[in-house]
Amino acid sequence: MLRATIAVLRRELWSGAARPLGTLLAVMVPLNFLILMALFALSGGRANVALVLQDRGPYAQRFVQALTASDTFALHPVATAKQALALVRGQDDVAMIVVPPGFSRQIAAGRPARVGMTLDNLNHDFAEDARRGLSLAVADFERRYAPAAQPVAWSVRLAYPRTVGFLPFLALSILTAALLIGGLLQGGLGMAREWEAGTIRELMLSPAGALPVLLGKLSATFALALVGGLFALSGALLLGVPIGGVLPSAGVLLAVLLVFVSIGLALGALLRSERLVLPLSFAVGLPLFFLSGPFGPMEWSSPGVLLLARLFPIYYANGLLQRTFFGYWPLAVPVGLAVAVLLLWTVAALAAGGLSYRRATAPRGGRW
Amino acid sequence: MLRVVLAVLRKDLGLFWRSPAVVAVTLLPPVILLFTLLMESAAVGSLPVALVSQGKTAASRQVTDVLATYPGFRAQRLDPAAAARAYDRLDVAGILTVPADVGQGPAHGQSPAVTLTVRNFNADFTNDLLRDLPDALGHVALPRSAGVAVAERDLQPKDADFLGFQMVAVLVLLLLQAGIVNAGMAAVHEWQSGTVKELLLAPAPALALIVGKVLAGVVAADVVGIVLGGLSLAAGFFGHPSPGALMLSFLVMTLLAAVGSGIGVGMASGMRSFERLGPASMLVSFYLFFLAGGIAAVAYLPAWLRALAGAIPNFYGMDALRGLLLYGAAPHLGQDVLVLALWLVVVLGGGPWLLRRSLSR
Repeated sequence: MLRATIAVLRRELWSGAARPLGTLLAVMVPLNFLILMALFALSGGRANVALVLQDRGPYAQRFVQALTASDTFALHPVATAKQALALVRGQDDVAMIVVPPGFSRQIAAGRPARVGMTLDNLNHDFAEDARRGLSLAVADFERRYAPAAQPVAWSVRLAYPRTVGFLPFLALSILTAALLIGGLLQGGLGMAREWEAGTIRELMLSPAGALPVLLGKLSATFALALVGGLFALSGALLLGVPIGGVLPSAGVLLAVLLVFVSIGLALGALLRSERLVLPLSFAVGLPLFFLSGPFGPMEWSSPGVLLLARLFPIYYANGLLQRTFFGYWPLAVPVGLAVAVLLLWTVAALAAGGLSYRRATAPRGGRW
Repeated sequence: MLRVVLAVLRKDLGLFWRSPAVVAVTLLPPVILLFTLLMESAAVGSLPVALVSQGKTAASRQVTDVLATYPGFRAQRLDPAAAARAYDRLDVAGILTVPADVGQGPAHGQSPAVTLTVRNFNADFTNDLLRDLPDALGHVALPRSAGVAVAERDLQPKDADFLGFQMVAVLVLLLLQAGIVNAGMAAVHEWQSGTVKELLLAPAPALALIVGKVLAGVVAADVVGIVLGGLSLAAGFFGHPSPGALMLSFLVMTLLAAVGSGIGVGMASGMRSFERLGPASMLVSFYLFFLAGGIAAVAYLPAWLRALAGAIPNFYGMDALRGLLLYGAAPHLGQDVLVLALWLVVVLGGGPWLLRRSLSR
């Protein structure tokens, strides 16, 4: 059995090497996905804001510090309000904030001070972020320098010593989805190619059973998916994903990839068409990325969306990766259950792939 | 020339409607994006928090009421034990505790504080909650002395709906993808069916062939664009644009579809096979889409990406369509239409050259 498995593995790898361009393109799909999603993530960070500082007094400086500390704005100084407005109108900035002359004098005297914000309120969600960011900066400033203006004090306790940044957090979910797409694609194409090229007949005629063929395919497509996964991992590390322990990280990544490649094999055996596997792998990757919990736990979405998320392995896989890389457990289900579900998916996928292969090779009415 | 253009148009349109694979590749990216946006809009909604009130004073009740009704988060009033359980089970993102003697004390700034305990899994939603709390407390009507007042001026008459804003992005992706795929597939068909040799021998000018193929892509893209736009309009995503704005929107949609179709013909000349063009067209439209701001606004992008977006045609289409459909005015409409028209000239001019080069190989 081992010999047959190794033979299938070698044949699959040679077959990939014979089509260098196609193999390279398929290997690069996870990296492409990572780049596309990183472009999406870049737009979700801090809002570019032109700051017109018309007062150079100490309180104006402290107000700017409060604006920066709000973690909402990417501030850059602009000399005049006219120039700043041109930047906002030209879509270079989301808003302009003006700290007028006399701001520090007013605060020092305990008199009301004003700041102005001109906002390109393109949609409610973006606009509210900017409004609340400014509100936070004002409250933070008042709490320190004009406490009487804050009738209700507030404080914050964070559950974890370190808050993972938006981009690294999102990048890890993107990596999970990239592994999924790479796994589906490599596993699916590897299996579907046999039917499309007609080489399934050769396999039928060989004395090897379904298991060695399946294991050989799994090993070869796993190796190819791993190359793509390593590209995607490098991209995720560049985006700031921290490496925890090297061995646990590698172990979890390999296990997750194995789950996805197994599902890919089943998909390929069921669809039997490269034309279908290719767009479908990409098509399911994007929506499933949003079900992996890329912005925070899916438990805080609506019950329907949570239920949907729990049907797919990416939800559990992303939880395990977050636990490994960020050090916390972000799912409401226990770790053991998540591992069990992933194991179940792998076994079920391999069984489905094996069954589909057996059915294809089973004689029908005395003929193949 | 007109006869040739119409003949090519008729032939290629028939090809589109008869090919389920082409229809699937056309519709798949926007459908995925639409589904994705629905997911995203569910994910970016308000966060659930537990609200624990420990006091019975008027101030405490008022603070609790304000927090309970604040739209930025979904507050559930719970007792401390139930709140702790909900927090442990991940039912809530944090616990807001209103102390017994809130709003009182030796000095306001040192009075017992409303405490937010938050699971800071990431900076994004943690910051959302951190921003929401002082904003909510700003609505408490307790006596306060002078502080910093914010004078806000908005550029748009009203904030557009989040989903409507995103629907324009879906529409742009659809038009681009439909244009690239349909015109591209029609061109690739000539190679795959071997009719490219007949084209080579025909007396028709190459520009007429290109225009016919681009026109077929435009018609197909416009049809699916009108269906999606009409449905969005009927669902109220776009508000109530005037008839004039709708007509101008159609013009921009057509220009965008024409540019996409021109790109499709160019790609087809290089790729010459459905297998290569199908996935490549999806990749190219997604790249063009995200490099031009995607579902966000370019003002949120870093400077290098903003500069890149300025060179991409769909950025101008998106700008014009968002202005016309969402805000009732598109201040850069002239510039947007001009750039799209220039792009069209470039792709129509480059098309015959690529086709000739490809045919001569």
